[in-house]
Amino acid sequence: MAARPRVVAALAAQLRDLDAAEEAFAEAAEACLTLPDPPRDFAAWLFVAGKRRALDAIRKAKSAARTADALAEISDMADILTLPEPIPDERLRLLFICCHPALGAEVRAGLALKVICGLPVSAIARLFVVNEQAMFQRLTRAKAKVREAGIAFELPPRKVWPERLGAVLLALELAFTAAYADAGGELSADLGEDLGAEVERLALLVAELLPQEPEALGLAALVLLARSRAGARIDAGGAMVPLSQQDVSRWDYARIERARAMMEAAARAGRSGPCQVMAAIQLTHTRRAFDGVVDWRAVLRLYDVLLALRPSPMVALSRALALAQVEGVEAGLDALDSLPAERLALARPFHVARADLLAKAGRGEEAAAALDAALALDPPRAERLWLEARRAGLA
Amino acid sequence: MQFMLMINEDESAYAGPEGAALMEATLAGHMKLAEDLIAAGIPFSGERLKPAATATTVRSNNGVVTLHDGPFAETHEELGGFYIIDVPGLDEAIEWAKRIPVPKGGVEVRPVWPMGAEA
Repeated sequence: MAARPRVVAALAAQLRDLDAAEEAFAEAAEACLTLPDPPRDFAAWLFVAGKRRALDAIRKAKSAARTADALAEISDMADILTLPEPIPDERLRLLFICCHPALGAEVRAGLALKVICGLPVSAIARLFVVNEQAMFQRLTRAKAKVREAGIAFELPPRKVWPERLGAVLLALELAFTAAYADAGGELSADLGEDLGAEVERLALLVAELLPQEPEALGLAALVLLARSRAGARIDAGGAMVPLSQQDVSRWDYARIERARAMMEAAARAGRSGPCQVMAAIQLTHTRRAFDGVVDWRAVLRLYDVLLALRPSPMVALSRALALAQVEGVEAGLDALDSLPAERLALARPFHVARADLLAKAGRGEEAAAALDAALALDPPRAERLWLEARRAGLA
Repeated sequence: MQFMLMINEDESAYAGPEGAALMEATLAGHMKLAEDLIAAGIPFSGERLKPAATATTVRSNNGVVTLHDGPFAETHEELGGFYIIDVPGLDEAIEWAKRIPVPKGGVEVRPVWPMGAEA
């Protein structure tokens, strides 16, 4: 439901309890389905209904000192019954609460994805490569800590924003990764909202609030560049179209221009970082629309920088593909072979990259086996269709 | 909201002649912190504890009580003292915790269960 992030954030800000806000929203959404006519303003209806339900629950529980606080926060029934009520936009405040440094670094991004984006625990667990039960426990503990440990529900003072920015950006980057991997929109369909649009909105909001932070600008540019290709990523048959084969006339040049301007502003700060480098890689690919070719040497250099800033097998994987473009398929395959294969066994991009280079090297059977390995890892529909077409092309 | 700031530090840092000077500096830091708390109008209390070697732990297991010579947990860092402060929230508690002089160790920040509140 598109209203979810705003409504949950507004409820959490009032109830000062993340769990209670999520529960209240779920109950209100359920109640909404039983209405004879849909409300004129979904978000307002859900906010008011959710607030009322939470208030009832608190009254029933009559528990603890925080009851008094919560009751004081929630004004009386009169305002609840007046519809429609303007919903305060508390998403940014909630984002900073979820990214409080008193919460473990490993849980902050997950909590933000759960509470603000409404991502299911299973999807979050996949992003962090942990099992669902472990992620569920982490999130439960984190929500309890937010409730009990005295973490302020106020937007933190501006001076501490930069120190919390890293966690906020990481949360958004992971949400973006989830949204981007979802080319065919399956996750968004499950959520009932466009996750990519929500991540873009939040990234732009953070960049607007912290224009002096180059990494905030870099992330917003990265998200804009990825979103600029939304119209070119899926073909008429629903299959994914890889970046190198996309029809550049279907890219959104307003977004590209906005991203470019943000990156220039970021560069003026003179402090590079992973988000800016990732955005620069995407912008280099975008230049294909103007130059007709991709400057793979520039891409390779940027991956070298990214690998130094943030070493990871996935970055090394992307670098190997760039290397293959610059120095040839064999160099690329050598680079892939030097990666920790057992760690990457469950990573689809690893098998897809191998298939790509093996096919180019004329090793069709091995390429087919690599595609089979990728297909066995349960790709989303659009990616599956694309992989199956390639698999058929090799047979 | 009340928070307990528990100071866990490596006692061995205070051993020897150099350690004595360090202890003097640390205690001066605590005096300064107490003055700052008073100046900021923060209600607080706190105590310094004798070394962990003086500790006796009373252990209970299903009604069977035994005594253990030593602190509750055998670690490199021992509970050496504490403050209880009354501040608006965790952020302020953390700011004060950062100001506690600890040459080597850590300060655990825990909310105090409010009296009269139910589980």
